[in-house]
Amino acid sequence: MSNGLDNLRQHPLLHLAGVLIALACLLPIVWLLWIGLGPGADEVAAVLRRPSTLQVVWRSLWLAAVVGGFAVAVSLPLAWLVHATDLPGRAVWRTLLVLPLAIPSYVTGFVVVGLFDASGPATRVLTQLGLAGFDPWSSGGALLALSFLYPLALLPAQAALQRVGPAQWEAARSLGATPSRAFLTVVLPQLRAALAGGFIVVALYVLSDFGAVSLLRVETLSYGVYQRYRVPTGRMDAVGYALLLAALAVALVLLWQLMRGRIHAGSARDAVARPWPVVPLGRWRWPALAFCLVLTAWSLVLPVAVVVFWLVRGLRQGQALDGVVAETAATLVYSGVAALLAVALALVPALLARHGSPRLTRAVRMGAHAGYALPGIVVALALVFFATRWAGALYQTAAMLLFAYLLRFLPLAMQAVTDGVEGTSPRLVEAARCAGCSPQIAWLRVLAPAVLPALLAGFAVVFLSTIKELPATLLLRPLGVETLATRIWSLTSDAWFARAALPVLVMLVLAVGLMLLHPAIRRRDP
Amino acid sequence: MNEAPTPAPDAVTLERVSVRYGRVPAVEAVDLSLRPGELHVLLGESGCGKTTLLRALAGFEPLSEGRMTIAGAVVDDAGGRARRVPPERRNVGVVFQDYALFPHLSVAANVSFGGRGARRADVTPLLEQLGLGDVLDRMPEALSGGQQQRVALARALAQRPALLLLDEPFSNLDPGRRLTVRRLTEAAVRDRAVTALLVTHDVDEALELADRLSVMHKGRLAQTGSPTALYFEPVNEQVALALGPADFVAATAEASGAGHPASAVCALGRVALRGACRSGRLMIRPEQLGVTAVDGSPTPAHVRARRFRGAWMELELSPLVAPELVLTARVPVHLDPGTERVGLDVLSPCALVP
Repeated sequence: MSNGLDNLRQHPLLHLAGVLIALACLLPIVWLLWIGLGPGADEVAAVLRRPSTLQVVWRSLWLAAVVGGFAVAVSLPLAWLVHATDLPGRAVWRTLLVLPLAIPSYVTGFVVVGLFDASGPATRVLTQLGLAGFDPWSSGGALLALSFLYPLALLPAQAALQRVGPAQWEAARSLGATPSRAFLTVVLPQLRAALAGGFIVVALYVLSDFGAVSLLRVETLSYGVYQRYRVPTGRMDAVGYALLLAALAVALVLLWQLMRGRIHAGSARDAVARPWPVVPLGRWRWPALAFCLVLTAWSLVLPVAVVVFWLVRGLRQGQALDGVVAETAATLVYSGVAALLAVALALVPALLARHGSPRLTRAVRMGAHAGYALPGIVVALALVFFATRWAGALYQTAAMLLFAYLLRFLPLAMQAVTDGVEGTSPRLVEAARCAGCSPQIAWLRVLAPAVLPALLAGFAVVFLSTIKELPATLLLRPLGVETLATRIWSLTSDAWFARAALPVLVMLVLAVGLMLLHPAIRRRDP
Repeated sequence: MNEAPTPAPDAVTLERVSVRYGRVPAVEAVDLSLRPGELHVLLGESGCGKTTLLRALAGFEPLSEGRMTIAGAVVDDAGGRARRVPPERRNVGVVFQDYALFPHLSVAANVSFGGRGARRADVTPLLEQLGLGDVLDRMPEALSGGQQQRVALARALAQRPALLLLDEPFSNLDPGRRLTVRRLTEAAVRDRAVTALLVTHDVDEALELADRLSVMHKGRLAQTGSPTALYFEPVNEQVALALGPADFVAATAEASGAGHPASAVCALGRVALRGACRSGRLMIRPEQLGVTAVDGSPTPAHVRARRFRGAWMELELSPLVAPELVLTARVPVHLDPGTERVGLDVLSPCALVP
């Protein structure tokens, strides 16, 4: 074993890079705290004491809880159906039911207003039936737009079901338990932690969501930050809201970390993942299939249908097909550069771990995850204030926007890259060294090819996330630059649904297409 | 072997049982019956279908053909008239290879799950016997592998099963622990006189535990009988080799007169026969061969190799009269003359194998 000081001498640049990354990741939260507790303490305290603030907090939590509850209620039966039963086409369902995760919330917001706007197709149908229209600019509209988040609860539920494994189901049955008793006494108790974890993740996403609530004009904390930031006199209000939002998000993340320990407790036993024995659905087969069909119709078919509806209507009315080429190019370029940088930076903690600096590695990872836990609007606001006060030259430059992307998505790349590097045995390089390679050559010829797939995975996941990113892009983009996300958001805000339809279509194709290429989705069970 | 004076009805019967996955046969036309209270061992290499057969008995695999009864009741007749009985109504206890303990339930709760919610007092004697008295309130993950195995056994026995199935129950234990757990398991099963079917690929385990033994090969039952019968009088070369090393020597049976034991003549001279078979090759286990000093021996042999194996010396031998024949002998080290040439003896009657 070599000690930390030796490592520092051997790899000074690596250590320096690690320290810089950790510091940079902490910048937004430290900056906000400094303003909120230092110069602006009185104003922020006044915001927190205002009764209207409490209302906004209450509305945010209520929305998070209802959407989380819906997601869990849907995920439990879905996970069981696609995993353990003879549901027709369950491998296909397994892919389809996760896909709505790819759709950004400002697109689902577009779908909801596009449907229920006074000129929308749903409103027309309702009026013809003699019913009152549905007001999409309401908490109800936000619930609909955020219902697309259910796969965030479905994925952990499925993973937990996989871990429980068929052996325990069979054991319970052989011990005299009927299928329903086996489910209630053996399977369900072991899913509880995963379901609670799914609830928390969905709640966290709802709390952090900016796209849907801003389009539907539901004043939650995250939309509140933006609204107050737009008012010249409301900047300290925005900081107060952002600090509140950050505190709630961090609390949820900590809660989730606690749950995660429980989710994985005692699950390593069933090492061999066998496919489940197929539980016959019998007469429930068709209702179960209908359930999946309805959900898919809502979360996949409907968005496409609404986009096509507005696209066709726009074309009929002689609408020009514009606002898409430059935006798509800007989106792809920014996302590509951000993803490349993220993968390169993600190598730093992975290599630090390999070269035995556990403390610094942990610091870098924690710093990066702190940035990731913060809602996008909070990161964006902190950077805007930081740049206008201290780094005016950087405000609204490409560099600032890329920095924001890295703050938000570096942990995604780090996860993938670290998995890849840790998945390769240190013996690999040692074997190459014994075969006469220098450390650098060994790295190049042995380790690099072995970790390449992980680097690509890291690139893909950051690329996909950046393409869809809205709040930081909205606040920090250079003057004159529009991405698909900002174009969709501003056109939809101004009720130009027909003009928004084409960018939405491009976004759907990009997001869902990339998601389908994602290895986690492509993998089916044996 | 103490045969019961009046044969009791069989506890379990399999008639022409087949299990196929699509068109791939896993179990083909198996006939087998288990006597009440017997510990029956199913031996075979991995992939031979033995676990599939066990899963079919438990009710996890439907039969493609054939009929299966447990305690006199038909549980599956391959889509025939009788309805397939679901696992929970077969009263079959299963000890799974990976134990499948419920990780969210304590040891006591796991075991009383088997007793269909039996009270703790009811299952305590069983747990005491298996040495689990002081881990009742622990969670499964806090137990050693051996303890987990015993909890799995206790859980299966607590339901007083009509049939106990054990799927490679000792294969996940380290070798040091395996023997103790095996003895403890055997005692617990025999004390309750429960009919049991144990599936394994470990020959030692099979020979030691079995009242009767079945060898399975490529989905079919090759032979069923007592361990000694299968070991010394196998019906074919496969069964012979499944139970341990053996050499095969061309031989001709001699007609035996009344009162004379049957014998056969081969390169090793005249050898006493056992078993009913009167044609085929002579099967000789390594420990059935003895060596002496070469002087005056009727069958002198050349030592091709000599390997020290601790408890015995392993010799590779070729009789001088048949130099192309290679035989393996295992002899106690002190009985090996240590010379280039030795005299060869067949120590006990051997069987002819078709």
